Amino acid sequence: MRRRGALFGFGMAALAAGACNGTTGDELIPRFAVYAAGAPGASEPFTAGGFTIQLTKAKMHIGALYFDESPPSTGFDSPICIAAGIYAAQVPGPADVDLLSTAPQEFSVYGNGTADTALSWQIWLTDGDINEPNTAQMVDLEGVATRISDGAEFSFGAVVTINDDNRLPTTSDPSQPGLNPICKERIVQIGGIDVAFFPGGTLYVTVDPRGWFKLNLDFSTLPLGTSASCAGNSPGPAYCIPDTSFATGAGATQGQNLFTGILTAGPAAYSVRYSN
Amino acid sequence: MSCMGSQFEYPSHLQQSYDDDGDVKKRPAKPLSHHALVVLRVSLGVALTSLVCPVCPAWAQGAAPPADVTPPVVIDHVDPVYPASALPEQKHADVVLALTVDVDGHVSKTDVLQSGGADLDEAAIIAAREWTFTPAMRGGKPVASRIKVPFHFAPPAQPPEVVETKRPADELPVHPSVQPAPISAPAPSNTSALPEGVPPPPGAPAPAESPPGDATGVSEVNVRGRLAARSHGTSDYEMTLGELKAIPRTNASDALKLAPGFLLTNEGGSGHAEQVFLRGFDAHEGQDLEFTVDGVPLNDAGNYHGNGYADTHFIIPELIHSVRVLEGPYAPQQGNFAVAGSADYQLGLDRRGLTTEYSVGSYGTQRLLLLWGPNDAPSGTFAGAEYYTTAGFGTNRQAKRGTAIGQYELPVGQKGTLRLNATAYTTEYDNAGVVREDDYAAGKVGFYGTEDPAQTGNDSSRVSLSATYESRFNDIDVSQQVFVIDRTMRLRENWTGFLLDVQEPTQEPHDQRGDLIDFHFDELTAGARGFARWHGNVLGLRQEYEGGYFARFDQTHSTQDRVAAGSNAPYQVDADLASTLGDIGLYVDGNVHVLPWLGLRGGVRADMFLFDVLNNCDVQSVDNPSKASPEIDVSCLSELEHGVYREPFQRSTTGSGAVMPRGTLVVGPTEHFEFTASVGNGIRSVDPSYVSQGLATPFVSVQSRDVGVSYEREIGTYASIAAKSVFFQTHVDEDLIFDPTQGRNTLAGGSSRTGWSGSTRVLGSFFDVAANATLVRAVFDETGACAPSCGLLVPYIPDLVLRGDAVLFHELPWRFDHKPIRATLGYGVSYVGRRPLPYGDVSDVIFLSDASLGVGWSVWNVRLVAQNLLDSRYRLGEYNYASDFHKLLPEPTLAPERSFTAGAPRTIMLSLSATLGGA
Repeated sequence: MRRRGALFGFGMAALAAGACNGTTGDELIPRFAVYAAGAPGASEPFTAGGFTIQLTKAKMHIGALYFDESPPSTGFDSPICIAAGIYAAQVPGPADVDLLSTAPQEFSVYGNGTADTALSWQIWLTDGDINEPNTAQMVDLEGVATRISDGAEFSFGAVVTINDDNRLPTTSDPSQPGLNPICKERIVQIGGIDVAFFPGGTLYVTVDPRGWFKLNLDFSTLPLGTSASCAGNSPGPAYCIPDTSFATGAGATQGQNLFTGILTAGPAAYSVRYSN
Repeated sequence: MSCMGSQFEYPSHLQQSYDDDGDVKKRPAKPLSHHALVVLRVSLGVALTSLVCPVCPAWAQGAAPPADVTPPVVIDHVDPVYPASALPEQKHADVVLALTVDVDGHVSKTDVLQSGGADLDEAAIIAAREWTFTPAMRGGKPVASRIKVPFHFAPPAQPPEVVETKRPADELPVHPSVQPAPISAPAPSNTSALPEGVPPPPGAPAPAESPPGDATGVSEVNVRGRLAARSHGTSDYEMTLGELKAIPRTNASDALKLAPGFLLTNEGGSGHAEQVFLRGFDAHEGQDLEFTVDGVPLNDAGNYHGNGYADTHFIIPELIHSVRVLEGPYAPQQGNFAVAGSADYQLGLDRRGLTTEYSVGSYGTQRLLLLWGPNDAPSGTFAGAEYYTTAGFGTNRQAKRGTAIGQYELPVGQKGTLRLNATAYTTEYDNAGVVREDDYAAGKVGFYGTEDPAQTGNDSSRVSLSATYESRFNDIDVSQQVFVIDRTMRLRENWTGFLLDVQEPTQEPHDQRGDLIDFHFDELTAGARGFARWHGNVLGLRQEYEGGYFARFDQTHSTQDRVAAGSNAPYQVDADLASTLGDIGLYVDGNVHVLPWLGLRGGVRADMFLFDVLNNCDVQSVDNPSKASPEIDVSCLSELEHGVYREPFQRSTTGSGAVMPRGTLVVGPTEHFEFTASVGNGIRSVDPSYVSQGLATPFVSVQSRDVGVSYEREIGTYASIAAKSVFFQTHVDEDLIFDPTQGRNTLAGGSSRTGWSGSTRVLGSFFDVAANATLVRAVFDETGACAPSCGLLVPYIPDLVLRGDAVLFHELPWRFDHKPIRATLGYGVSYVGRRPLPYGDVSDVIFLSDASLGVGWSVWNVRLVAQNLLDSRYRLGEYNYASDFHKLLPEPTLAPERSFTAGAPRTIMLSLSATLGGA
């Protein structure tokens, strides 16, 4: 009887221990700190499209960050805006980042997520509802571009806002009026990452504005800073990159080129790491 | 039965005698004396163990005894003496005693089940203790047993006129009905034993019969009762609520907690079905538990929100006589949804008369209850009506409901019983839903608040009619039941806030309009079930064989829409399914005794399912839509690729069958122990949406096994104890896991549960204590198509559930107006261990206690009930998933966050009731 009792007790203890062991998956990470900064050397002159560009001001408003466990090919081409897959982490709050400073600049909110690996991420260029009109400046640039061929200098300014009237392409397909929603224009999607989140870590985001100039900008065609096309810019620079993707006349394509560069720069402009 | 005393009045024809000339003469009446006129009535509702052995093997708890059990037989009895102390009141009263008959045939214990006053109680007890019996027999061996015996006391009548007779009294003919013949002991209620006409055990004369109310004092032996199921192992719990009714229970589902391992949560409001956890299964709203009420099915078939959804709120708790829970699929009688097990509520009203109860309490809660049980009718004849309303604790928790249940049980022929039941129920309620932990921490939403106040206008209703016929023909018991059920429900829930309304190309540009679900379900069900059970002697032992069937047909319609925040206008159809479902089941079930201590119970069941599903919204997206005639903002499209026309609907049909062997090996009883080992296969049908998606086999399979031991004994004359211990293991090939994003259960991979459960109940003359515990580990399969959950714990399943209930009941030492005062004190505790949550997290533990205090005097009863006595603030349900209610941050939250549903705070209810006309 004593042996049977001992066996019974052992069995119960084993069952109790087994009942408590195990996991349902990777754990929640309730909070982690998030910092953003500019890339080293962003304040130095660089060459792009036949110009030597010296940025004197580069600010970016980041509305939110989202990290997806799915690779970038999943759902990114759809207009859904919230991509398919499970989100491993998020930073659902803004930061205004000086991209010419390499000093870490903290986001206004903590990030949170799960101890999983993200294969793609998104930078939301938003200030509030992603579908609502918003005049907030997502990017504010100033600098001097010197044409390499003849040394002509063009001081320029550029602000980027994202709304229906300046960024939304018109659709020619009446059967799909929702094919190009404005939310799609406010999301920078970057793949090619392999970021593992864990408790106690910190997220560091680096934005290199030099990567936005991959589509060559012809600064010599820019409208004057005093023209109507530059109404939203700060006074000072002689020229401006229009805050629209559909400009006509002087500098017509430069606004679109810059905006496209911001959206599609990928790892050339955006990098992220998560570490202790 | 002889009747003592001069109050006995012979019928007029016995008072007559005849002289040699044929003239009528009268005989002298006996002189007056203070002796009681007692009529022993053994009528419907008598139970072998009745209320006092609720954790005994199923057969001993008001169910039919096993085939090898015979009840005790009265050898000699003594009439009680009408006490002089009751004469001034000229008291008429019934006293009902439960007698424990020991193996020697003597009454070793008496319990007063219904008091007629202390003096009459004492008189009945004194007389009953003098009775002797042939003891109950099981397997040829005497065993202790309990019977319920009513005594009716009436004050002595005026003495009859004395007249002279010519013939001596002892030569007068005596009507056979007043012969003091030994009485066969009453058969248990809910049994199939000994209907009229069955020869009594050898040595005992045939029971006499006389019409009710016959003043000759001849006993009536009516042994009509309900045919009940045979126990299928240690996991079979037949629970008669008895005194444990004093433990606060808000609804019928709470009665399930008397069986081990039950955890009930509810995130959907007072009218929403409970989420039931049992043996490692999240039966959600009933999907893995087959619910019936006296055999009439409760589970919804084809409910898109949850196939198997079982709303038990229509059952008035006071009308629950007993609940049979069989954990695991071990009985061939168990059908669809019996994955974790089955629960059958048996209705009955023991408290006869007209009872009116009014309750008032916390949060504006009021309840009016009317119950009626005619005195001369069995407990299965009753009517009940309830009206309930509450403002609820916190936001969005108001509810109101009305229920009416009527049941009539009548004899048919000499051995048959017909039971007719009609039920009507309707409720309207609001739903608070989940609260995000970060919103609560930031003060945006209160603990008892709501993220979306628009979750209102939920409703549920049920109307059912059933007829059940039971009888015995020679050695065969038969039962036949038909039922018709009409069900509707509406559910409005918002689990995710503003997250799921993504932009589709065929929609005008829009932002997130809100994820509020508006779900509606209609169901018309018709069906029947029946069986024939043969019993006889083979190899010198009683054997049984049962063959039965089940048939159910459902016409259902489920629709689910998404509703825009603010305007409350539906903007998207999620589902529109009209289904015709059929389930035909046949089974055979044997109860074979190889040796007196070795038996085998079980057989095989086969079910055939038919699903005919019309999906009225089959096409909800299309690539390359028609440019010529675009369908903009249309949920259910009428086109294929490149605009090729098609109708928006699609019909799918599938049929499939399953054969499920089930069996239990029984060893014992030996001394006080009985050992069982059970194996069984079960099934659970899937909801029609999977059929419309092309799923060929419309059900999932489960395999289960357990070994257990049960123990029962009498502790002298003080108490009885019963205990059970079971180890179990169950595997299901496709589990259903709750997905908060969809607000419903969705198919996951295969999973297994391994665990142990134990229960005990100790019943004494003034106390009733029950406790149970369950340990379980539920994991997903590690092989096969298990990704991404291979080997992981199944979320939401508690690993430890403990429950304890205790009731004290006794007469107080004071009287008022010569009437006793009876008090009842009840206390219950629940402990739920940490539950695994998604993403490697665990929930908090839950510890709750409830208490009640009741005082009864004469026809009156006052009761004070406190639930969550310690006013614990606890999270009833906890979830980790992505949602966005726009409360805290400007940008959406797409990563998983903790959310919870709040458990009810302390709730106090005061009830006042009066029972009139109960005798």
